[in-house]
Amino acid sequence: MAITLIKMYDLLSDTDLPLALFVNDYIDNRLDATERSALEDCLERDYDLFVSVQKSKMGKTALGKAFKVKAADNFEDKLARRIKREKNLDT
Amino acid sequence: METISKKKLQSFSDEDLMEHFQAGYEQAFNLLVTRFKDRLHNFLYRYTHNHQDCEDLVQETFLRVYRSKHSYERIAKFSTWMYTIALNLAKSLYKKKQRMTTVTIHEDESDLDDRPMKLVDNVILQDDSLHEKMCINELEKALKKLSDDFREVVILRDIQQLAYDEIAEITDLPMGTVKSRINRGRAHLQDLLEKHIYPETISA
Repeated sequence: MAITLIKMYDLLSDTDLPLALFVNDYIDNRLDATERSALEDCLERDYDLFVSVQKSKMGKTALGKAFKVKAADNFEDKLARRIKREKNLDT
Repeated sequence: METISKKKLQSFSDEDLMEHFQAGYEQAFNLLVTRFKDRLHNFLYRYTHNHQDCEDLVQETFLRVYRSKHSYERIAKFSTWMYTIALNLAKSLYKKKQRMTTVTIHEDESDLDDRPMKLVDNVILQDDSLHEKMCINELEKALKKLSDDFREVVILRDIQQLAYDEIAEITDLPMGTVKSRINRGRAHLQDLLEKHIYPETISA
């Protein structure tokens, strides 16, 4: 997805949607060098945009620290018993 | 019916396992449960905030997969289908809880066998440090405060690590809307966190 700086500005002046597409890909490090450079130039010129992108990045980092919940050790046994009970009710 | 070795089954993709389950191989279903039980618990806990309710929902999700096996078609990823079922169940539970009134559970002093009911929510934490615990608790509180639209997509992307196209399918939203909500959800979450945690504790 090659894009020039001028086109980036055109897109940013439209709805929020095109911006979100670039910002998400930027944070995920999926823009090519030209796109990245164009967006970073926009960030330098637009402080509100810069703050918004920083917040989105920090929110993503914070979410990466969410604790992981696991199934109980006997979950599969419990499920198997429940399936068996249902099968018995059906017959 | 020809038996398939456990080793062979384990080499199958999720979609292959579903096909075999549809053909009558229950071990294929059991292996899908093993593969997805933790992921589903991690996902549904964000809706229930209670381990028992979470386990019930995960069981119900797998039961629906079991009962509706023939409605699965290989054109969709198995995980997409399963997450869609799980999300619909979570939303139904949330709506039901909103309609329920609060009931106080108290001890019956006249009954010697009665014990006070204690609801314990065991939180599994990544790190033992008190500071880290506080940040993680604040994160969960902030996640609860996000609007449903933002929370849903942010959980699927940043906690469940699903791809954007899969999230779009699960939520039945256009890709642009998914990305926009994720972007705004993350920023809003950060705003909520900044109100409760000192800024220097959040690393960028």
